[in-house]
Amino acid sequence: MSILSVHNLSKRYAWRASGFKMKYKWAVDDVSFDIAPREIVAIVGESGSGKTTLARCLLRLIPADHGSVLFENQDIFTLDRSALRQLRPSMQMIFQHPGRALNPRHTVGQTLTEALQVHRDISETGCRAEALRLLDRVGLNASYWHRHPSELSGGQQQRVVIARALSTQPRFLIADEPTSSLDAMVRQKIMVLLDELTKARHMTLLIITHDIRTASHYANRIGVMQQGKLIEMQPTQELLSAPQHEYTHQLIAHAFATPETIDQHELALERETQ
Amino acid sequence: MIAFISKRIVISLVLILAVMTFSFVLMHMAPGDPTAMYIRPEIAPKVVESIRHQFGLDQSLWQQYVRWIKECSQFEFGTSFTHLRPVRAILTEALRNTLQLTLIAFLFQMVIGILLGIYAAIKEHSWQDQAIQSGLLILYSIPGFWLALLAITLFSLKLGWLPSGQMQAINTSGGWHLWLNRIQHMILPVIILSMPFIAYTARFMRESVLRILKQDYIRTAFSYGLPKRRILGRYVLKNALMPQVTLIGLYLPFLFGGAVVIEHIFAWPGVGRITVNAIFSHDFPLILASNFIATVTVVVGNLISDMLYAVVDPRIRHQSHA
Amino acid sequence: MNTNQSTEYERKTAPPILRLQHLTVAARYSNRSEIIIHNVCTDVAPGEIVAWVGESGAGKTILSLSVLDLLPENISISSGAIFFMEQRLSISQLMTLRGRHVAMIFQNPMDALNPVFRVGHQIRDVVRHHLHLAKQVADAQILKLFEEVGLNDPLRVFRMYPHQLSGGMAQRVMIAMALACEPDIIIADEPTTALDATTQYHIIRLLRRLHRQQGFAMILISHDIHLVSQLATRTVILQHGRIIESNTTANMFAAPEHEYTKALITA
Repeated sequence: MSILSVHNLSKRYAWRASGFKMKYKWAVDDVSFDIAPREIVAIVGESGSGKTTLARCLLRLIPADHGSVLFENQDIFTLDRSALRQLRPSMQMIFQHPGRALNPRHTVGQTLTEALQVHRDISETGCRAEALRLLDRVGLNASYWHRHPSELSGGQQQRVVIARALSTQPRFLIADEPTSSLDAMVRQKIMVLLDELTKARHMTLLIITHDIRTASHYANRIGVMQQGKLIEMQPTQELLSAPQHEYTHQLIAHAFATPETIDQHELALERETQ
Repeated sequence: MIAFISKRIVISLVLILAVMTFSFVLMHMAPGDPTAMYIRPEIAPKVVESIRHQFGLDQSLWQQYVRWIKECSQFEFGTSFTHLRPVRAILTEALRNTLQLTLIAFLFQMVIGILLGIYAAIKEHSWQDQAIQSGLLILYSIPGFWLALLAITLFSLKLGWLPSGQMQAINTSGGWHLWLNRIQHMILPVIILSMPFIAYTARFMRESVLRILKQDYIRTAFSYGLPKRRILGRYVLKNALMPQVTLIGLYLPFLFGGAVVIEHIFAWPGVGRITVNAIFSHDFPLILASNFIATVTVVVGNLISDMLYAVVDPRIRHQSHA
Repeated sequence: MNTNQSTEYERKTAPPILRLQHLTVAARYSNRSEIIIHNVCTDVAPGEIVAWVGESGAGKTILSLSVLDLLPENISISSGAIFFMEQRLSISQLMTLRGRHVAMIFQNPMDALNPVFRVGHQIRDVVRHHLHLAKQVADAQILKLFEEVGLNDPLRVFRMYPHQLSGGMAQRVMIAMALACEPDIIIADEPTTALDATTQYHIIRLLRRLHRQQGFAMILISHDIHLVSQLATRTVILQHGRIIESNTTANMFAAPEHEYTKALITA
């Protein structure tokens, strides 16, 4: 039983190479995987590996070219508009740049109550109470209610974005590089928050990131993408200890490098050239 | 790059044809008959009829259209109804005069506008900047024809420094006298014509320079100890001029349009003045021909902008193999 | 370990290249002013890599900009002194350090290079301005540098525009530019943050190698404690514009004193 099931998903991009000729590139190339309920899965890849495109296809934010995505056994590519709209609240996405995801003219309070009113059938007073509860849940007190995004730090902005995502009571959350625009300390706090929330609310979390170190701290399973392909997906410990692919092996070696391993590598290279 | 240009040229040709067809249809839908001025009691209807035949007005609209397109493609535009000379000869002469006016005005506004813009940007928020900004605001809120009349009254009638119209004095002999005389005649129309464009260019330039001064690569240049003059004169300038290049082509049609009014006021024998007169006398071949010139100017102007931009901006130049 | 000890030894014997003494920096806003660097004392010894670590707003970048008098208009040094090679420099003298004695590497190499000039020509500009070399001599030197920083086909790279480079290549070009005038100190402001993990690794390896071969001193500005552990010989922790802890990197990681430092290291 899986909450999300992806089969042979492909997405290609076209661009004009010169004049009239078109060139194509598979941004997502025949990707299949399953995610079980309440799992935390990370997809790791470098820029251009297609991980963000994959995330967008999963939520049908952009159309895919081939394959299917089953969310709770419903094929989201064949759903009509109204059915899709009904499903949207249960799948939410958090983006890399929280500042861009928030309306600069709305206060924190407006942002949250608006989201609640659109998606949930509750009274105005209930709305405010619920919004405050959400705010508290992401670690911001009521004093933030009247602030605009520009008056918040990057970490606080991301907390508001998370609170807004929670407002629709999603069962599945995709976090696309949720911390890469943030400082190391704030990064950790946001990741801990996401981890806690996922567990407390029985959600399923898909983290899209280039940072295998962070991913390995929180994810149950890690998938590695390279040039549009999901080259492997394994439970975190197994992936770290016994990567199947040379690329994964290097990714891990680079991410966990210490001064000693770096210098050893350098020496080995020097010896080779001599 | 070649593919890009050839594609743009094909699109441009299609565009020109479309505009010409549209103006042809519009022209023949307009009320009024070009031979109306020949219909007088002393002229026999038969004569009018033969004139109509001579101008080809008795053919079907479709025949006239095909003939006209064929002529245009060879840059032959028939005979003017009013001047009774080949349109081509009339327009070549007029176009030369107009181009003289507009191109000089264009260069003038570019130089002055760019310099003002850079100066205002470097002195951002100072009184000099404020003064330039408000001066520019005045420049493009004053209508050109009014300014032209004011200038004629002041400089020609009251002070008598500059001539009020025409391209040159009637009795000027050749040589450098002629040139000096021509320049004197040009000063007022050129300045008046370029006024609003100076304002556009300067404002645009100021914004570009300010935007570029904030870029990371300018910070790099400063942090590597390059002198400020060099950074402004080389690094900032080239980046700031780049978007200006796109405007070059877009300005041309507006300059042409502005010239219509200015030529009329200063009695400058250019395309503008001839077109206005042609419209009043239903001179179909002349109107259509100057329309053709205007269309070509706009389209070619756009084409030039795009190509220039591709030439100066390496990011676009290399797009095909990036 | 060995290298750490030797630089620690040199630190005690050799005079520092750069010394900040009781440096205080203030920002002016329309209706108030605020101190953003509080009475900072620190130095950089020859050949060491010092990391200035802190979160955004901790003042680490402001501190580095004040060394070169590159502060934004509303921010200025309000008191304190900066010594370069034992010599106290006035604020106007700081400008003379730029590029020649102190060179910078930035976070976004793509944005740090001018998009409309060939990268080789940008470096040539700097080299010729400081070293007054003939064009051919300068170019030959730059090509050699390109090779040293691991750029294949230096001649081709020399003629490229920034947008034609990958992020990693652009950072290598930036490093070549920094090395071009053989500076005494290189300030690297988050040199790998904008790059992919693999590219990060290669840049770190490159910086370690160049540092070992050429022996320049480096100030590494970062919030990434992992990067710091990979590069720095000494670490200075900044919080709210104050230095709260300073030690050799090895010692600090082994026994952090401050609570904040502990939290940073475990993050």
